Amino acid sequence: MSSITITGLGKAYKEYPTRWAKLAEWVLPWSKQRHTLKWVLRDVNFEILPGEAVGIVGVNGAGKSTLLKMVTGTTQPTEGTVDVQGRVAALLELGMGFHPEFTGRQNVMLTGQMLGHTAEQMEQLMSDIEKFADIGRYIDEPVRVYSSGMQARLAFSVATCSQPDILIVDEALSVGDIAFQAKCMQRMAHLLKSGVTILFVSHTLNQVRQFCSKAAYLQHGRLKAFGPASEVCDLYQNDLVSNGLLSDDIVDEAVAQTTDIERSDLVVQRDPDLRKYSVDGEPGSMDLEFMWFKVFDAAGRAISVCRKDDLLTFRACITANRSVPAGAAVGLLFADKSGYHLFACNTNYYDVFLPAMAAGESVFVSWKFKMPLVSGELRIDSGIKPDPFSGEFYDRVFCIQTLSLAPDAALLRKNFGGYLLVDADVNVQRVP
Amino acid sequence: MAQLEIGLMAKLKNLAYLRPVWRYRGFILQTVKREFQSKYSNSLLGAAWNIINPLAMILVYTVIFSQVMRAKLPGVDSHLAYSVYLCSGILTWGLFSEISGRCVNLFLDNANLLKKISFPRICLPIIVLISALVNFAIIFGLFLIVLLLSGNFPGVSFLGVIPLLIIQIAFSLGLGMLLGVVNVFFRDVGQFFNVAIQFWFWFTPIVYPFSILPPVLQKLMMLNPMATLVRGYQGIMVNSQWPDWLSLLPVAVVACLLCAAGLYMFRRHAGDIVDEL
Repeated sequence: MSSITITGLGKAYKEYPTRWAKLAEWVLPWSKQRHTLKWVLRDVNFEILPGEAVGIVGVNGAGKSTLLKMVTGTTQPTEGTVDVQGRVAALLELGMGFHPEFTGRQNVMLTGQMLGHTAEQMEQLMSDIEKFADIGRYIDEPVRVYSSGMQARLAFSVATCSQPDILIVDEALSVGDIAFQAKCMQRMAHLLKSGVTILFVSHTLNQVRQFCSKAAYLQHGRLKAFGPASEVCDLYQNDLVSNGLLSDDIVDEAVAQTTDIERSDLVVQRDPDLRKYSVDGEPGSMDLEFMWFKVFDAAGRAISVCRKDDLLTFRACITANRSVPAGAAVGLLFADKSGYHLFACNTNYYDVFLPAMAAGESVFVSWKFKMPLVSGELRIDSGIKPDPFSGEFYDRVFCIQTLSLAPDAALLRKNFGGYLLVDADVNVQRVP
Repeated sequence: MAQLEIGLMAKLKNLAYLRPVWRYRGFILQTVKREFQSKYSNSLLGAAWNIINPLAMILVYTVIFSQVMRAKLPGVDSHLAYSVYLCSGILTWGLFSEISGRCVNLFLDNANLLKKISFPRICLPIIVLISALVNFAIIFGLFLIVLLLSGNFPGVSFLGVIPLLIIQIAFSLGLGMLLGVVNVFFRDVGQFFNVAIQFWFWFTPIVYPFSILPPVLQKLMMLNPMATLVRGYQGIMVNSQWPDWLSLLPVAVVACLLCAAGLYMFRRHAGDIVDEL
C-alpha cells in the first residue's frame, strides 16, 4: 500500500499562435485544434511508501514544482494519474494562500478547515501553531503587514502542526533565518519519525542526502532517476559536472587544436555577459575596465565546475580607457552563495601590481593554484583599485563568474559537510 | 427506460459533485463571516454600516425619484407607492448584480488560493451566494419592516417572492459561473460584463414603469429575463398581485440552462483554470 502512486504522469500547457486562435477554438465548436501542447513534464512513474522522505532534484525548469503541484492537486495532470492516500498539507511557492486582510489567527483557522479539519480541532492546534511560528503579537494582525519570512513561518507551522499524512514542501526552507530553518528541519525530522510521508524540493543536495531515503531526479521534464537518495544525488551532480564541461567545450573546428586558454590570449573583446549578475550601475571610474574573466582547468579548457585539487587558472583581461599610473591592484574574492567571504587572492598579497598603462593598452592577469575546497557553490568577485588602500575602484564586478565544486562521492558517502577537508592526523587511544 | 437511468445516474453524479460542500461547510461559513468582519474591521461604526448603506440608498432613490422628480406610477397615487415600486426593483437587482458580478471575477480574485491549496472549487460560488444572500436579507428585511410599519405589506401574495428569488438566484449563479470560467481565459469578459450590466440596469423597468415604454420596446423587453423577474417583484410589493407564472416559465428554463452550462463549463475547464491564472 503506497502513499503516493504516480503513473505515466504528464503535464502540458496549451500554446496558441495568437489570441484569436484561442478565441476561435473556444467559440467554433467544429474548428480544428489550434493549440500546440508544450510538455513540461512527461512519463513520470514512481511510488512512495508511507513514511518515506523523498527529495526531488533537478535544475530550474526541470518540472519539480509542476510535479509537486499535481501531487497536491492544485494542477490537473494532462495525462496519467496521481493517486494520493491520506491528508496532504502542501507549501507551494512558499505560501498557503493566506488572505491578506484576515489576521494570522483567522487565516490559520481557514487554512486548517480547507485542509479538512473542524474548527474545534483547529482551536486545539492553535497554541502549538502559534508557538512554533513564534511571531508574537503579529498573530492577531492582518497578514498583509507580515514580512515574507513571517508568512513562511506561519505557513510552515500550519502545514506541519495540522498532522498531515503527507507533507509537500517546495523550496520553503530557503527563506527565513538560519535558526528557523534549523527548526523546520528538526520539525520535519520529527514528522518523518512519526510516520509522515515527506516530499520536498531542495537545491541543497547535501540536505537531500542527509534527510531523504530516496530521491527523484528530473531532467527536461522526464524522470531521469529514482532511487536511493545518495545515488541519485551523485548522478545529478555528475551530470552537472559533465554539462559544465560540455557547454564550455564547444570547440570551433578550425581552431580545434588550440585550447581555450591559448585562444583567450589572442582576444581583447568585451564579454557582454560579464556583468550579468552585477547590479551596480556605476562600478568605478572605469579608467581600467574588465573585458572578460574566465576560469580554465589544467588542460586549458574554460570551466565552471571543478573538483578539489584541480589546478585552475583564473584569468582576467583588463583594458585601459585612460592612461593610468603603475601600482593598481586587482582583487579576486571567493565567496559562498550567501556572499560570505571564504578567501581572497588580491594581487598585492603577492606583491604584484599592474604596470603604468596608456589608453587602449590591455593586460592579462592570471592566478594559478590548486583548488583547496572540497564542496560548495562559489561566487567570484573581482575589482581593480588604483592602490590597495584606496577606497575608490577603477572597476568592480560582482559575481564575475560562478564555480561549482563537485564533491568526491566517496567523501559524501561518509556524510561529509563543510568546505575544507583538513589533513588531520586522527587517532583513537584506549585510556589505560 | 435506459434513458431515464442514464439521466438518473447523471443527476446522482451531479449531487456527488456537491457533496464536498457539506464537508467544507465550516470553511464556507467561516469565510463568509470573515468577509463581513474584514469589510468593517477598520471602521468605527463597524457592522452599523451594513444597515446605514442600504438605508441611505433607499432614502436617496425615494427622495430623488418620488419627491424631486414627482414621478408617479400610473394608476397608483401615492409617493410611497413609487418608493415601494423602486425598492422592490433596486434591491432585487442588487442581489442579481452582486452574485453575477462577483462570480465573473471569482477565479481571478481567488487565484492565490486556487494555486496553493487543493480544495473543492465549488465552495467558492457557494461563499459568494451565501454572503450575497446575507447582504440581501439585511436590506430586504429593512424594506419589509418599513412596509409593515406603514401598513403597505402585500399580504399572502408575498409568498410569491420565494419562487421568484429561487429563479433569480439560479439565473445569476448560472450566468456568473459561465462568464466566470470564460473570464479566466478571456479577461475581456469581465470588463465587458461591467459595461453591459449598466445598460442592462436601464433596460430593466426598475426606475421607470414598464407601461411608459412604447409597445415595440415592451416586446423587446420581454426577452430580458431580469425584466420579467423585477416586474414580478413589483407586482407583489405594489399591487399585491401574484406573479404571472406562465411568463416566468421561460425565465426558469433559461435559468436552468445557464446553471447547467455554467456547471458544464466549470467542470470541463476546471483543470485549465489554474494553469491560466
